[in-house]
Amino acid sequence: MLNIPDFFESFDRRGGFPALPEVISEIVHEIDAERISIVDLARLVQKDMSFAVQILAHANSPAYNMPNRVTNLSLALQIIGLRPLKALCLTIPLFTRFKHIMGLPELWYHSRVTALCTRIAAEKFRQTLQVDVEVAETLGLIHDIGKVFLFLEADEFMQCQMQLADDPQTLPDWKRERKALRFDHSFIGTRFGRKFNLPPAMLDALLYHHEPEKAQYQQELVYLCALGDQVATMIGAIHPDFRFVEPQILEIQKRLGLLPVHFQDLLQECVRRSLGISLIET
Amino acid sequence: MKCVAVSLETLDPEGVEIVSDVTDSLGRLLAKAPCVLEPNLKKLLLARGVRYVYIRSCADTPRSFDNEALEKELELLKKRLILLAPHDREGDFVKMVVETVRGAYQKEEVLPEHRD
Repeated sequence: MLNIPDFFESFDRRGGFPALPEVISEIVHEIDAERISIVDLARLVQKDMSFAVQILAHANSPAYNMPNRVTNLSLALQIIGLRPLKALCLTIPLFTRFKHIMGLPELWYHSRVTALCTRIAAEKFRQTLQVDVEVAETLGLIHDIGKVFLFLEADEFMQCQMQLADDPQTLPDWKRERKALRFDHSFIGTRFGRKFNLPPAMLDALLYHHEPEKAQYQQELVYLCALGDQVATMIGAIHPDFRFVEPQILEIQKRLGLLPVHFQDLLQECVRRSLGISLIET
Repeated sequence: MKCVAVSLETLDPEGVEIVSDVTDSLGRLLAKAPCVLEPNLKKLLLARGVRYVYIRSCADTPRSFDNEALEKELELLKKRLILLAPHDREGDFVKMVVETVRGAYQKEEVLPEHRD
C-alpha cells in the first residue's frame, strides 16, 4: 500500500511536479506579477505556437459563446481572462504531455466540461451567490489536477480504479483513494495549487470539492465547483475512475438555494454548450 | 465533401486522416478535425461505444434526429444517476433531470443519423 511519505518521496525523486515549459512558466510568472499588458502577454504566448493554438481554440470554445471565430491572440486572451489563462498554463502542458496514458484524455474532457458547467452556473447565479465567473471556471478546470499525479505515480492503483468505475456498489473514486492511500487527489491537487500561489479560496475549493461543507473561505464557490463537477458527470463527461453522479448533488442544490426551475435551466444550458467540446484534442 | 463511414473495428488506424469532426451518437464532439487516427484515438472512440463513425464536412447536410440514440443516452444517464435512488425516494429529481436532458437534446436536434 502506498502512503503519503512513500508517495511524495517517489514523487520528489522523479523531480516532483513536472516543470512547466519555459515560455509557459514565464507566462505564469507575468500573470502573478500583474504588470503585463495583454499585447505583451500575447507576444509571450506566441513564442509557444502549440500553446497559442490551444489558447485560440479555447477562446472559440462554447464557454464564451463568441458570435464570430476569434483569430487574434490578444482578443483571445481578453476573452479568456488572466485567471483561466493561468489554469490553462497549469493544465494544457500536463494533459498534452501525458495524453498517451489511458484515462487522462477522459479526465481532461471531464475537466473542460466541468469548467464550462461551473462557469455557466456562476453566470446564472452570480447575483445571488456573488461569485466571480472567471474564478469559478478556473476551479472547474483544475479541480481534478491531483489525479494526473496519481496516474503518474500510482499507475497500477489507477488502473484498478478504472476497472471499478462502472460498479455502483463501489465507493466513489475519492473515498477509495483515501481508503487505499490515506490521501486523495484533492490533497495532491491542493499541494500543486500551493506551489503555483493560488489564493486561499481556490486552494480551499481544490481541497474540498467533494466535501464543500468543510470549506473555510467562500463556501459558495466550493459548492459551485462541486455542482459543476456533478453536472458534468450527469451530462456524460464522466471521471475515468467513477461514472456515477453522487447523492451530494441533492445537498448542493439545497445549499445553493436552487429551485428545480433553476436547475433545469442550468442543465439545459450545460447540455447545449457542452456539445461543442471535443473529447479528443489534437 | 461527402460523408464517409468509418468502421473502427476493422480500420487500421495508422495514417488514416480524419478530415472532418467526429461526433458520437448524441452529436457530442469526440475528435476535432483534422487529426490522424492513431491507435489510442481508435481505442478511446471504441471505449465511448462508437462502432461506426461518420466523417463529414462542416458543409454537410444537417444531422437528422435519431430518437433511438436519444433513448440510449437517457438509459446511460439513468445509470449514472442510480446512486441517487435512496435519497430521492419519489424519484422526482431523477425524473426532472432525465426529462430536462431529453428536452435539451430535442431542442438542439443534434442527433446524427448513424448509430453506435
